[in-house]
Amino acid sequence: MHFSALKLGLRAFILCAGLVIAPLMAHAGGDAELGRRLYWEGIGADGLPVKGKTQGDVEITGAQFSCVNCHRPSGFGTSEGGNFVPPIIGPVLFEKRTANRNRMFKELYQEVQPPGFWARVRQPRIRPAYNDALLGQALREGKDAAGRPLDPIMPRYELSDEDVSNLAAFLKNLSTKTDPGVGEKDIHLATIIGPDADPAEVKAMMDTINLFVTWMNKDTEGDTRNPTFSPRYRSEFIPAYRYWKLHVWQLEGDPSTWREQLEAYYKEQPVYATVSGLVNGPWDEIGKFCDATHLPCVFPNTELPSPGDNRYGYSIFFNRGLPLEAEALSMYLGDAETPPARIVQLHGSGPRGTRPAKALIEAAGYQLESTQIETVSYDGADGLRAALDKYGDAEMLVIWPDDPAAAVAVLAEADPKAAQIYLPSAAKDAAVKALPADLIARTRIIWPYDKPEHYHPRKYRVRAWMHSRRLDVTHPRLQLQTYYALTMLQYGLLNSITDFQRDYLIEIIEHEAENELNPGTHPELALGPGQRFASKGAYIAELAPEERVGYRVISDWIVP
Amino acid sequence: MPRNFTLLTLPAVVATFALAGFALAAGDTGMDQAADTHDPTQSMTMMASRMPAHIGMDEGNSGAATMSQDGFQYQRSFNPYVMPDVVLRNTHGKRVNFAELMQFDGPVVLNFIFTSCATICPVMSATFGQTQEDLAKIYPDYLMVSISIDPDYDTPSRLRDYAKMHDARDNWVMLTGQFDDIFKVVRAFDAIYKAENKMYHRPLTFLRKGHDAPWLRLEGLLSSAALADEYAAIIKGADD
Repeated sequence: MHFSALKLGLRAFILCAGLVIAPLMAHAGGDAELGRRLYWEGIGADGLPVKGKTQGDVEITGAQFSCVNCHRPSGFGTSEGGNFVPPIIGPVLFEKRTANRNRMFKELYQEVQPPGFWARVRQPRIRPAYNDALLGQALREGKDAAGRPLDPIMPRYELSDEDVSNLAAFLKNLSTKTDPGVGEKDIHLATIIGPDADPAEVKAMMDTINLFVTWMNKDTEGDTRNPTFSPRYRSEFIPAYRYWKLHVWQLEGDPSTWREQLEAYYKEQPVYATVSGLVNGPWDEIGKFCDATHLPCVFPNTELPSPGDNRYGYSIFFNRGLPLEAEALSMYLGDAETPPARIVQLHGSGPRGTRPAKALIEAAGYQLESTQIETVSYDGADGLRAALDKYGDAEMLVIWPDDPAAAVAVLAEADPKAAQIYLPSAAKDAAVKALPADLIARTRIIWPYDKPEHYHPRKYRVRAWMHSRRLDVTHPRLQLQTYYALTMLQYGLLNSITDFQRDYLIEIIEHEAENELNPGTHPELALGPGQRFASKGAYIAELAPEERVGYRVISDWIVP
Repeated sequence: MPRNFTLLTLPAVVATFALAGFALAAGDTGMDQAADTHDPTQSMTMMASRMPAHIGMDEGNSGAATMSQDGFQYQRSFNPYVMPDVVLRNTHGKRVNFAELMQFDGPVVLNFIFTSCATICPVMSATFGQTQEDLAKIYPDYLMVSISIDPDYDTPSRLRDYAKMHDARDNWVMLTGQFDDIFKVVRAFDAIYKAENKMYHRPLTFLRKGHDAPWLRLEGLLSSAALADEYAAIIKGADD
């Protein structure tokens, strides 16, 4: 609630180094926590869902029409379908509205919008500062602080005085402070590497990240030192530039100890976000840390994301990983004219084995009602050998290994007689190399990535970027995913300008993810408000050593 | 950090900056005192004339839309859309041939939504939800259709929850499907949005009287009363 009272004598913009400095009235008595509940859940001070009307006569209530839907967790607003939702963060709402170039720029730069929107954001909408009474008038009657009517899409709510003052108390502190990890010149970022990550993959990822960061910082140096800035606008963005300072958070030991390690790293140097990363084990503990710290963890490379749909969580993933593969397989088999009578799934005892096995059982409950599913857990290569001895002649085998390459080696040697064998995507490279022709013909993989023939213009740009900078592309998909994660962070920061608010960063990423920046790793990469998995489905593929990529997709894109 | 915009649409950005510069320059030279007597219509006309050509999305959505001061305005037009022969899925996960569904010989009210949509879809869906009763009173044998434009995320079960939230009656069908199939439908209704980003989708509502009648296209958000009035009008056949 405390703000330094310092007025900047700049006419065009009031932001400096991410700190909005404005004199605010002390607030009389509202409960910010109840205000937060109203903002997020649409629950009033009396504990009941608030009611209102939108578009004149459409009655609405509850969470579906709470403030956060349109004005977003950060309060910076949004634009959708040609509707412009203005920011309502404390420093904007409770301050006189002036023509502010930096604020305006963000509104202007929402790409192509209908003409009504175009004109709307160019109106200066100068108005006095809101106070509780004016806020109440806006929320109840739909009149802004200057007495002009608000757009009819803004609901007119039935609110008590208490509701209004609670909401005011919450909004006054919303997005007022620069989030940790951002200095005057630098922005601190981290990438998280798990203890069992493959060293060659780590090198490929780190080379990509380091190269990207080096070039980002070179560009920053050039842009901020270059005297060719035009006096009219570009120079005004100098306060938005930060040098990227990358920290590598290498985790050791058991996942149960990761949280503590992460907290120690964060304590030593808080970072604004983590980007990319490579973790073989479950993301759960890291995800809990990201959520608890409100730290955006942007597109890690992991096959075991935190379970659940993670709506409004702080980790953003490519897809749901191995459980998604299992569910896609269940749907594929369930769609067949004659679903299999019996499936034997062999799974490793670690989470890479148990999680997809569990997901398959659950999904099959709906999609494969008449199929008998036998689930067998095994330990290590010897365990798999014994399990294959016993179950190898099942009609259909599904294997979820902890170590895909080791499992493929055992398969090649045991040569089970099953008519069909399904393996997760991670086993693809090893299977194409190590399996004999007869087994290759019977083996299929689940493929949650794009097929090679899809055209993604961005793939060529990114590859050109990599090749022209002599990056050794040893793990193309991993490196393209890493590049995409970095791009998301880059665009997120770019559009934030000086508003270094983590919630806002995530909201921009939700929006940008879909904007043709897909480097060809997945058929579609897109998020929506609150969504945390950018790709949602998988193909089924057969192994095809004669193809350059080693597989051939044989199904539609399956979205379970 | 304007350098990155060169990746996208440099001319547009330059134009944007130039205009922002213009607007702010105006602010510097007395916009403050003009605020109270500011006539928005006048400034919008001025701005419309300065609008880069690429911003105008289509004919029906240019001048008039720019001038409209509030969200009660919407555009109407009749169009002979051809229904694509694609298979979608309903809230029960069952396959639905869209062209066959559109053979329904009665009035149809249709829109495009997605369930995680924050701003306009909740309003459009609430409007559909609330108006169901009025539509039934005017002429009960209608079909209401909402098609998800985020089909990968909007699984049948998510649509089921969404239908429940909006108290959807049995004759309100919600459809998802394969991305390419959905987009054949979007294209058929001339509802393509820019940059293939669903956040740019427009508030569109489509109505028709019978399976061989043209579609009434309503562009803009509607009040419940306006939707009921438009429905009553096509039932009466006043506009065919």
